[in-house]
Amino acid sequence: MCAMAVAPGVFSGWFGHGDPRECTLERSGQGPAAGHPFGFDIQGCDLYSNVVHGTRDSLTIGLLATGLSFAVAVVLGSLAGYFGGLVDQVISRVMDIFFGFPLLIGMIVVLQTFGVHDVWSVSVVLALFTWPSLTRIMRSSVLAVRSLEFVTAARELGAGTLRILVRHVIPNAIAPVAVLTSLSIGAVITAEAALTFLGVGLTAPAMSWGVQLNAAQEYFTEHLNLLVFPALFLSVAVLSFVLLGDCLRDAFDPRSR
Amino acid sequence: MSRSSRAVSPDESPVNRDGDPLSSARPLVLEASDLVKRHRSSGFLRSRASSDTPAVDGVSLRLRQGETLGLVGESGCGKSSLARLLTAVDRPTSGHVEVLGRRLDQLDGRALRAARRNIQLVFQDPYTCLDPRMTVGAIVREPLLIHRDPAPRRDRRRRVAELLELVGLNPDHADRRPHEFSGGQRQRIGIARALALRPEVVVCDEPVSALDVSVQAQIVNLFTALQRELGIAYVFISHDLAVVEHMADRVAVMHHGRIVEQGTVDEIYDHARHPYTAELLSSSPAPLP
Repeated sequence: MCAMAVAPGVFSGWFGHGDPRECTLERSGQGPAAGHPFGFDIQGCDLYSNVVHGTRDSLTIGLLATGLSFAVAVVLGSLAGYFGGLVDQVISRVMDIFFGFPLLIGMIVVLQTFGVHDVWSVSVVLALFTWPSLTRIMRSSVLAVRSLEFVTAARELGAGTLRILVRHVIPNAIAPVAVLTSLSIGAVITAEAALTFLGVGLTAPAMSWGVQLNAAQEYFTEHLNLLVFPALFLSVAVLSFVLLGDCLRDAFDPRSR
Repeated sequence: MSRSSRAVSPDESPVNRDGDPLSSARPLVLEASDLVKRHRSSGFLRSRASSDTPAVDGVSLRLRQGETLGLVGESGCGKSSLARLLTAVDRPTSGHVEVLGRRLDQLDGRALRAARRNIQLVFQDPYTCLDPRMTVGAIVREPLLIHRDPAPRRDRRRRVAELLELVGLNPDHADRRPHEFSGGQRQRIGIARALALRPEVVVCDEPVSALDVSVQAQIVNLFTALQRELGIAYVFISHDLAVVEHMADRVAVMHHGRIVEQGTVDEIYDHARHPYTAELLSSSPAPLP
């Protein structure tokens, strides 16, 4: 189940008509037919292969954005939690500024200033607004780990700050933020779909579930399949990442090894 | 030999007041004078209320090679704060700590790391003092990785096995993680880690108070056996007077951050001079006949 969201990327040729760009306008909006299990979109393209090819951009954005914010969160959260004082003050106040923004409006405004809306720019903007919550979690779990005696023991042995952080503090503090990150992959994919739906995310020649949902919004009263299938894939992917989060939580417990 | 009845810092004059003529022949390994630790109350809203009493208030003590100094006192009297000062985990507000004649409280970086080899700490809680994500072997090996010279790379594995054996653990269990061990065994792991660098002084901060009584006895016996074998000096912190009486050559009684009385076990246990010592002794339950 965890792997299912990643796998469809290679599935597109399964039902014969694999090329998502091979379209005939006369089949516009038709329902499922032999070799085209999901039917056709408004341009007459095979919807199944479109949805399958959309997986790549949607997942790339989800993984890239959360990967970026996870990296930022681990670094900044550990610094803020471990050193405290001025470092903590600065990082925490910057987080507060981001918490003050209305999320979606903030993302729309920032994306408007970008010239190109490709996978990278959308991921960066999404990461820009997801790192503060992850950093806050990381900071608080580092605070908890920092006061444990094995950290004192390492300091007393003469270990350097870097060694203490990398060997002792981060491995013991990372579990909550890693679990939360895998949960937020789902949220980020949804946010990307929402941004695209609002017209500031990826644009038409690119394929993502958001683009397809965006295209579907005008026609779904007549052609329900345009809305249902991308939405179904989106839900399954989000659910899978939630489950992945659960798996991670179990895997991070040293007792279970 | 006459001990001053003044409460604080009995080591001010050059006259030896250790009360043990034998040990005075051995070299000093640890000396602390006038240690003060004031915990700064942080936050700008609370900065006015800085009239708080210091956790450690003018403590002086000396320790000779192979000797055990018991440090007793009720909880909250500053014993653990003192342990953190002696091992340079915290820096004193004033006063100084000397280990083998080197000032520990002023050193930084590389010099501090080198000086720390000679003084190690054994913790109270065997459950939080070991990194749960590391194997026992990695925990005991870590001091050898931080200080490269005591054991060259090829000897490390053997040295870890040696240390585990020394504290009575099976060296074959080095690949296990701490949660697979009992409290007493975990404490042995902590002791092995402390001994890895062959320190002269080991500061034991309530090392047996988290263990049940039968295990306590085993660990106490391990401490005394290690002392006989390796000539280590202990600062043995405990609130358990019976354990300290068994372990210590000399005893220091701590109260509100000060050492109120210091002397040999006999002097303290049979002829307590300070009222607080008498109170402390009378408050502990009498041992069964």
